[in-house]
Amino acid sequence: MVLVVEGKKLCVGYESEETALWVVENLDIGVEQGITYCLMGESGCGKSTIGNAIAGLLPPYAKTGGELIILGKKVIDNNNRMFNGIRGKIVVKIPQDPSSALNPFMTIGGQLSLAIRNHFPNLTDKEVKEKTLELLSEVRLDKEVYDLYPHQLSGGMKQRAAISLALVPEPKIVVADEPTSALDAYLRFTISSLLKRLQKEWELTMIFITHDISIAKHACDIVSVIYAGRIVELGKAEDIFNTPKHPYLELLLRATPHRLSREKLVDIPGIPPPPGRYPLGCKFHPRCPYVFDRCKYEEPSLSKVNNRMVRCWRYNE
Amino acid sequence: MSSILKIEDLYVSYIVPVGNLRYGYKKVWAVKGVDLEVPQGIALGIVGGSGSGKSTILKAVLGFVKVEKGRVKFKGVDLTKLRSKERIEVARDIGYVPQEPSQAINPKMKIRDILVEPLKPIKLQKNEIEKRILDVLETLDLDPIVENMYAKELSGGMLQRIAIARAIITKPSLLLLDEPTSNLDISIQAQILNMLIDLRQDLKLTYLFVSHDIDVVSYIADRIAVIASGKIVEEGDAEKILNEPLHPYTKTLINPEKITEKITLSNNSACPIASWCSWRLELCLTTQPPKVWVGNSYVVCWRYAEDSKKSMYQ
Amino acid sequence: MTAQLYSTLQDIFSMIKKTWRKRIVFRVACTTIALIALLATIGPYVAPYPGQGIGIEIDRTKALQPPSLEHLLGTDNLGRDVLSRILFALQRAITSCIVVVFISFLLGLFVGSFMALAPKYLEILLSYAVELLLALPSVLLAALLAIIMGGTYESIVTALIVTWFPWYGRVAYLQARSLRELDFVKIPIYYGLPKWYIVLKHIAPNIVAPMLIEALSDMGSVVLEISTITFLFGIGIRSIEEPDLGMIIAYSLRDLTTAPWTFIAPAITLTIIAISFTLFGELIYEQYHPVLKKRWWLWF
Repeated sequence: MVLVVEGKKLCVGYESEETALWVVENLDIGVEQGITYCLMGESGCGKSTIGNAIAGLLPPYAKTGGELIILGKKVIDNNNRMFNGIRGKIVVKIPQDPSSALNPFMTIGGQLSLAIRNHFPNLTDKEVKEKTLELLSEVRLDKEVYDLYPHQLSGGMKQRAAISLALVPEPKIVVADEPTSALDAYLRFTISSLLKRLQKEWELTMIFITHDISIAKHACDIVSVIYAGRIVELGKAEDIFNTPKHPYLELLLRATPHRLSREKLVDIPGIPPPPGRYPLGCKFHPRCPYVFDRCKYEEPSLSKVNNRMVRCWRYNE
Repeated sequence: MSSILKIEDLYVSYIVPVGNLRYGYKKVWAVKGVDLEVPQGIALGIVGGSGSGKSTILKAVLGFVKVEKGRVKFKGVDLTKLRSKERIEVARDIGYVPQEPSQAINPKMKIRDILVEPLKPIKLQKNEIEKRILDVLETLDLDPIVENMYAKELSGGMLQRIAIARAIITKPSLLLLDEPTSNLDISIQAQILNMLIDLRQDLKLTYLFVSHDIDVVSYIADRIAVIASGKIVEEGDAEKILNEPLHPYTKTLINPEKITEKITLSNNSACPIASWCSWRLELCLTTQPPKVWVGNSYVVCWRYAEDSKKSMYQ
Repeated sequence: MTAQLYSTLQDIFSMIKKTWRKRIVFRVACTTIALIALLATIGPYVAPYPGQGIGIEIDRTKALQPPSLEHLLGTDNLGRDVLSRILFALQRAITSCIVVVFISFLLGLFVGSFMALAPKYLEILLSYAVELLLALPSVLLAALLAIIMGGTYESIVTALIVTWFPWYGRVAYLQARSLRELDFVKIPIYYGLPKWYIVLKHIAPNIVAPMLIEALSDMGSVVLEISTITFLFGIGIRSIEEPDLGMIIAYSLRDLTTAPWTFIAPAITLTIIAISFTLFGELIYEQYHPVLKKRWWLWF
């Protein structure tokens, strides 16, 4: 199995004048070719940070440690980040808020053409226009959108336009950072179906970041649940959502309302710990209903349990 | 059961600039002929996408937008016809929980002062005010220590609880909630939703709840109304709507995984989904469909109308 | 009320702290301002020749003497110690400048905020009025008011308040306009809280901090304007004995070639005051708009 994205003891942190803290510590991550890998978690858990690290979009004042290898090339080596030629060409990112990816002063067609000319300088004008229209139809946008400005589009259309922009360089890896969160609930499935189809047709490896469980189930093959910068459960989507093992995942599933069930939602007491104030031992133990002594002092490691990996003392001895 | 809120034939419009202000302005209808009845003690959830007009309905009840046509009757009194002094009297009886807590709470004010505000026009005794504040903080499971804190020191979930606390401090009978959990994490959302359910029971409130997320609405609502392009397309008991949806649009909301093509909503045709609907009749484009009642639910669709009615228009 | 004031002051303080750390020039400007404030307060008490400073004592025999140990900045054409003259003039300049800026700031803040909450017709009317006032030139207005009010110092102060407050008014109005769309302003209005309460508790605290920095910065320009008016017209000075920077400079021009120190000292004082205050404000502004550091021409 070829690992397209491989992280070894990857650490990402931020240093400002006041504080210096690690958001992600010693992360080992491996994404195989041609699958949709989900980074799932609530806000502040570090999933966006991991996504940005893979896409090469960490700000200059971020600090990194460990290694990140993309398609065999080392792009992060301790505090050195070498993404030239990778960022924006081999790895692209679809942002959460499509408005931030689209230039409000250019038509959609104009922006796409600009990007295409940048990546494929040898095409004639006619070929560029053809390619633009092709991309628009790939994301199921009408030809008319070519001449429209972003503010004239609805939320769903803007997201599609942002996706088409991301696909211009014919990348191998796509990092989608919460692509459906800015959309209405029922539009989310349309966009995630689109991404699923594109992933298959273009043979992409997709890193799908979301906090929405039904979308993760719908669009992703492998899901890793992130809490406090660590992977706490990892496995196939249908496996882990049907039989969650880690207490956090279990509680999360029971806290999500579903339209066809009136079961009382479980609310998880407390709040996720902010970076820099992670507790000792297992990072989830203050909120865990199954907590016992060992959890408070020793952090469990990610170990194999049947068909998945879990980071919990209830499962590894 | 009497209705605490009765909206009749509501029309609300906005003026929007056309083409970067170069061509002037045009009138856009946000709400077109909406009828809604909220019985006392019930939680009614309005579900729809962005721009469907659902938030505008709440704003019309609150008086934040001007009502072009129609009546908004609260406990029998038409709010649109009230003078501002009388409207303020009624304001105490209708609480409002907005969507974004960070925009609903003045970052420069102490929480205590924010909670006291709705009580100021009532001129209560000092100890009564104190009592209400402590009461409301306890109900929302907030430590009294937050009284002296500022918004930026608190998390999103706590801020939302404070917004709810402020809405109920005047002991209203009706609570209007605009997507109260859309910006919150799953675990916090569960907390707030459970709290809202207990609250309604304990304080005997009526809820008018707006959301784009049908999962959230189905958890709280007793009755559900589905809105698209400013028009209500279906309304009924939650059980019925969720298990046997009648209107094609409602079906796509309940089972979004089954949507194959884009749904296009139109502002011009009588039925908002006419351009997309596979059941489309000539009539659907030109004439507003009637309400077809099935039990105590109704669906607004020509397909369900009796043939006699259809022939009237053809 | 005090709670809002406190948190506003905290905001301003953090802005000052940040700029202090980043720019050395800022530290220089701040210390200069502190020095100016100190001298303005205690000036008249430490002046070596207080009587001459005020202008009561004159000694024509000692006229136009160059700087010496007795008179650190020399003497003017009436034998008065230039240093003492400047110290007294400094106090006058700073106090009147504080009055002008303080009053126009408050006036502008409240008028602007009210405008945003007023009914549509009033809002439009007041906007036009404010635009009109913005067009008035302060110097000419001061001259006009001097004729009407009888050439007192008050006429200068009034003229300046009238021409300055619309600037703050417009800024306040624009900010208030975007604030009024926010829920935390709409909700108290909904519950029937009076407009003055909304302005005082909700609008003002949220727009005051950056405006205050600008106000401090404007003090530099105000001092220059007052001095310009007194220089040109000598308004508000009952006799040539009274100390005022503009007047001192005006009268020093006659003997410029023979006694340049009578001009240089007050001119430099004025320049330093203006530059320090202005720099204070501009540097803080620059901190929060980093693009100006690279593209300095955008300042203009």
